[in-house]
Amino acid sequence: MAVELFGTTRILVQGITGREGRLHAKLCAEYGARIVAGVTPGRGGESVDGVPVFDTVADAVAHRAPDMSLVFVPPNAAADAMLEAVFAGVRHIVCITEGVPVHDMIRVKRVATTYGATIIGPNCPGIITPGHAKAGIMPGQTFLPGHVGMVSRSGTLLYEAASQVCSHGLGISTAIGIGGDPIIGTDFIRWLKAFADDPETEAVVLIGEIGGAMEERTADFIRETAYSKPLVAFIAGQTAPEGRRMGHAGAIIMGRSGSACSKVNAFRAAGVTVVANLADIGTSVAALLEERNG
Amino acid sequence: MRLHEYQGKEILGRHGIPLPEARLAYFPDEAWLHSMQIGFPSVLKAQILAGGRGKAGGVRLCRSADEVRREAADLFGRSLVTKQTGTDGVPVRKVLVEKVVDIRRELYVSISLDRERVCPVIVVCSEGGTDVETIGIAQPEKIRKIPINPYTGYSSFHTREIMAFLDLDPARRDRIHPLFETLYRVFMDHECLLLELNPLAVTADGELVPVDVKMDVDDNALFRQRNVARMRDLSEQDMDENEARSYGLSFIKLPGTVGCMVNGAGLAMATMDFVKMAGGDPANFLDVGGIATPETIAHGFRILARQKQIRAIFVNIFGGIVRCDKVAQGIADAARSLEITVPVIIRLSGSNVEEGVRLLEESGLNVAIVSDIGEATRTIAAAIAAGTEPVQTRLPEEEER
Repeated sequence: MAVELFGTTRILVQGITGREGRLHAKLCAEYGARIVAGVTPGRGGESVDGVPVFDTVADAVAHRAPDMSLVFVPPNAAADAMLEAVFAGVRHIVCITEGVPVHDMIRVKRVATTYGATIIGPNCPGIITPGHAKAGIMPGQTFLPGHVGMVSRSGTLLYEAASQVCSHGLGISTAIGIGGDPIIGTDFIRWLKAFADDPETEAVVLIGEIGGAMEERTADFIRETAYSKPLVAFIAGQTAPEGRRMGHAGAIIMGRSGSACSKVNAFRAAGVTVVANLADIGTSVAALLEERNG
Repeated sequence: MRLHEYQGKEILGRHGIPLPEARLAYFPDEAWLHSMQIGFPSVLKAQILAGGRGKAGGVRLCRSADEVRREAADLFGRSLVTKQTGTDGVPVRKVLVEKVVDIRRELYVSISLDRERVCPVIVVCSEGGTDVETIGIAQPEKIRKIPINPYTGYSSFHTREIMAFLDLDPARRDRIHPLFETLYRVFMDHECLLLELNPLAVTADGELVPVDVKMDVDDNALFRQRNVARMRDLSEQDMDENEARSYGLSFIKLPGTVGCMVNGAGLAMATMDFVKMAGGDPANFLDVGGIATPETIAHGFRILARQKQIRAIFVNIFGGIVRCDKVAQGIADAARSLEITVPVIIRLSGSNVEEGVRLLEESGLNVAIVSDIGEATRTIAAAIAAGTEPVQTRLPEEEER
């Protein structure tokens, strides 16, 4: 077991004929994911590395019944691609694209919520269930199978944390990069709920950053529900200046809101182990699990 | 993308929103000339993008042409240091000369996007012209947040709610409703992240007039917001930051002395924090992005190496899609044409790390290569401790900028 993505999950790749789409569809397939179809408007009937390409998501759904769509469409058309997938009935959408206009994401997220579709991203590395499948651009070899769930706003920071956790002889049940944009399809709470119900997951690592109030809301959720599994959190951006966007569109401190300090305090108050130093994520997870299991 | 006050007002004016009479001046005599046409008292407002202008002396009230002459001469050529600028401040190149509004009441109005509710939100406050955040904490009852459903848009009942909350004269509803309706339309049509009127003045004759306007448009929407994109003022932004942007790199200068180059925004922020914990101060944020090539890496490294305050460089790469050998190649290419006298610590991990390390070792560069972040802690701490004298990175003459 794991959450959301399994070896059996049937994956559609939107934008499969593009450079990134084609490369990562191949890498995901090599990792073990079932890439069942691709979509590129005007390229229906072709095939890419043995995967049939359709003109529309509706065609792909009719012929190949995908459970999940992985979106590599450029930012000016990514919202359209996500909406197409939602309306065609695809239940899980992973959008890798960086640079999707935020007003577009307002529309897409509201529609996805109405239709019961889950969107991971945009501006994210995707999702990986080590040893089974990945739907995203993360380096597969960094993630070993195990029992730590991970969810992060940042891609490379997720790889870093995963690498540290695995270097302590531990492994990962499922890791999700939820994306660095201000409006993203899923939040930490969505994944904490999934990990709570997953018997394979023994602990969860949350990787947050400056901007917005998602971490604070998550801390409230953890406290109010007395979350059942041990949690380790890391927050990036302690040294970030106010009023500047730090690479991610969503990573900005505005006045008093969105500071790293507020997030760290909120997590600490909720009983979450907050790691101060980037180098200590793996050690902290290992110590917490040892304390709990030993 | 932040717009200047005068640019924001230009957009609002085009949509029929009443504004104080104003003209833009590029040099002191022009300000003097404008003021005589506009009349007195008038106010000179430095047009800089950084916030905190008023406290930094960027707004001057003038009662006569002589005063305008004096104040404008002082304002132009001055650098304003605010909490959002560096210690060098931002030079004043443009001044808005504006007729002083007869203000009876100051209100606050903003429209932004609510990340949690996933919709635009109008925020109104019965006290404007001040720090609304402070009021929000001390007297939250003075602030009202009104979420707007983006599908149904702005409606009459929103105006009724706003007018009742701000205690505005119901007889003026026919003037006030179109104002808020237009503000909402401007916010949506221009794909703003923020449209803020602070203060929004209630004048003696009951008119609502924006006195200051802040407008921030989503950078990711500029490809289709061409009219806004054309307004970008590169003169105020840092040259190195502009150059980095042209290569698809995200670079932000900071006051410290340890230069950082990292792939990925989250890891880049975490690396800055990490440098701080190791006893240093980050000199910058630099994210080379998820699809960096040897060329973009080389550009990034060159920009970094020419920052004069830098005493050590820390490159932190977790190879995924960006492979370590490509990064190493880029650094080696850039470093060969530079004379680098500060310690360079390179942490490579992830895909093609062996090849990357080999490339760097064969390049003959004097760099410390580490494989994990724990090891980097010690190396950086040692470099910071050793570098008591600021060692400058010297650039060869032919190095082009």
